[in-house]
Amino acid sequence: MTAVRVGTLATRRVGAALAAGRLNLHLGPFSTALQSHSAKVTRYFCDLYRDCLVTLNEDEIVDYTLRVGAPNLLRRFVRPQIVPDPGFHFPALPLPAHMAPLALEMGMNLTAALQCFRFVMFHAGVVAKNDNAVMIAAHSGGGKSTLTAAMMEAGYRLLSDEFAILHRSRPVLQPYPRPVSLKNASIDVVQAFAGNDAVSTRLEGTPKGTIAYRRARRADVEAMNQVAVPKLLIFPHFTDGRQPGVTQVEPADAAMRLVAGSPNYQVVGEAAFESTMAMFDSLACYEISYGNTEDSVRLVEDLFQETGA
Amino acid sequence: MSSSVEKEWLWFADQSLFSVREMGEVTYIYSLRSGNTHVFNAVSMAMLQYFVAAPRGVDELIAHFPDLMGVTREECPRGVIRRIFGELDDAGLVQPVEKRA
Amino acid sequence: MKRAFFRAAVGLTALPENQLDLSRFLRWAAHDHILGQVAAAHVDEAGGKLKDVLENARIRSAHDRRMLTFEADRISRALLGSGIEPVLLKGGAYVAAGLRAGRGRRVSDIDILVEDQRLAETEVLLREAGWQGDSSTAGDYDQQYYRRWMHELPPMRHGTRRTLIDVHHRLLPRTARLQPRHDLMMAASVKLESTGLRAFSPMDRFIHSAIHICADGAFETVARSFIELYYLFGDLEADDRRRLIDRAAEVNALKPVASALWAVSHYFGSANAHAALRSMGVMKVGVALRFILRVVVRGGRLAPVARLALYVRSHYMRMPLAMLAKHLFSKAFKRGGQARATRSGG
Repeated sequence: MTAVRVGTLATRRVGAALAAGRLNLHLGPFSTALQSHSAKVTRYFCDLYRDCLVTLNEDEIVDYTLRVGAPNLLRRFVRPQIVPDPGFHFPALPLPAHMAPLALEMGMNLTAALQCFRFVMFHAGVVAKNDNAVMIAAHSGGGKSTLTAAMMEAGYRLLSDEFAILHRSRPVLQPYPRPVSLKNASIDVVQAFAGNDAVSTRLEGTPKGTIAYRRARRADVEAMNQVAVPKLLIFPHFTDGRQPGVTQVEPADAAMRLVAGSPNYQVVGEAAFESTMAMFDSLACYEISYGNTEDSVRLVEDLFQETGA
Repeated sequence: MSSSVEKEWLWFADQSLFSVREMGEVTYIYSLRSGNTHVFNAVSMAMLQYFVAAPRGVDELIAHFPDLMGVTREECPRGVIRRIFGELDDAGLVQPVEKRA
Repeated sequence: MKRAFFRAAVGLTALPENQLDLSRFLRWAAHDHILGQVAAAHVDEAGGKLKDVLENARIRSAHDRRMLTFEADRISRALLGSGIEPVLLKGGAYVAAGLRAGRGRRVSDIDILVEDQRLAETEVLLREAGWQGDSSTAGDYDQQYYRRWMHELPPMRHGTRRTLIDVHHRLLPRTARLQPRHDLMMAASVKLESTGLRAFSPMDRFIHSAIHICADGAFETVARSFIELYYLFGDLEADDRRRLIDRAAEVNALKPVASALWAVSHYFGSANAHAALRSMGVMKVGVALRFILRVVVRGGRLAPVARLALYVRSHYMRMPLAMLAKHLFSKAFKRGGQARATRSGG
């Protein structure tokens, strides 16, 4: 069958296909066969992935398969739990069944992070304007996802919240526009400027606190095959109430920090080295500190202007 | 490394087995043999180049390296030279090529 | 169906034409960790998503090959000047010798075999070069168990590269029912130009693989194991094939070799393997084992039971029953103890 947008399908049909393991998500460079019996996974998927393309058949050749379900038969019925199973041994912690969306998103991250070698993956959010990209590096407490979501409101398209996906043959980034994961206070912030419809219902009491997801927009999904040239690399530092500040980072240091957080740089080998080095040839790298989202957006916009992009 | 092995062999760095990119004050080196990326400062880089030029012994290195770097022997003690050489050896960037006569 | 999959996996036949079969084949290959081997055997056939999947697998297995090659290099560096020339076993040897059995193979650790009397020296030199006892077997019980009963040192992990090495001094535990003549096999080993290390002769590689898979392993990776046997057998010269059974008798490995020949003949339709098996005359592969293997390969409802049977069999073949019970008891007791400690600590 030809691919259709999730939003054009009845929820029941998506649920049946998910239960049968016949739902294939085609997003950016990856096709993923999804399987789940959970009605919560179905509901979440129909909502947050509504603009994404899927096929409903079992003979699809896919990059990854992901099952999201109970760790065993008992936990499907008694104090139900849910866990992502990417098809290889991975010590994932079972979650209470109502956290199904988290299990799905964790599973989607795992499948790509641990099984993709056709691209070099870095742990960063990526947005772009006119196909020039800003990478927002991840580190704890940095505010990567909040800033990524905020940049979406400032006229940038979303490439990815979780991975900067670098081609091996040339230094361009591949989109993989999945939902942006928001934690705790940042949920209110993003909801305030993106609107209620853009954000999923909240999951309280997860291992990471309260979590909600901001949907990738139709335009982001439609540009999912359009690569962008990385121009700016940002290491964000959020401290509540802090005055905005900018520090330049030596490319050599920035490269080391980015490579250290890559799940597959080592495996990809020489092509990863060459492409990463080529990327840093024309990449401006900065640490920014800020106390509120408006400041962070303004800092990034100014730095982006300076790159001449 | 046992010092007898170090003394008995000549060491060589095969340029075709690594890829080099300068970035600011450091050099990124990708080793095709190990698949590892190393970040070298000017001193380590100079030592690597010393072994690219020709197979050499560690005692030669200890004798020549301070001059090569334009520093005195006191500024560049043999312990430091040995340690840096050990890093090149551990990384597989220098290889034993022939036994000394 | 599975027989057709095995043949496609090694390139004896083209990939399944039917889209549904192809998709099932790829999922089977991914699950059984042989996608890299499939990708190596089918270089020109791919287009579209199939190309992506095979290319991805190729990059992954290129990394494993690079890692293994470098580890072999590091071992020979660690032993430089000692005169110790270990025999690289299994994947390490296949890759270093450039064999088909090494193409696209997924590997995580490296195995070497050294003479008993140079074992202690080897261990010291590897430690000096940065390999240390792995934390998962650093406990006193495990250390004692390995040193007393096993055919290898407790696995060692390199401090910075995090790679694992198994140093063997024989091919099976001292307690195993089967005692292959590793001394004869070492004596016939050949030097590998690329590394300064050694590998078994082609015949002995097949025999050792048969021992490892059919007498030692628990058949946890059936597809991978059978593909390995198929390639190793296929690489034998006619003369080696004729002498194989005599050699197997000589090194005391007739039984596993018979099982291996059966697998190569049954799953890949190898006439040569069938002929070799027939020439063994009275030697027959146990009906029960053949049945169990078929069930495991086919998968489905009975597969877990069959796997359990193979697991018990593999342990049973390694040690007498009373000892097995003691070992399993110690393991279980130890696990329980650790779990409690973790919980109270956390």
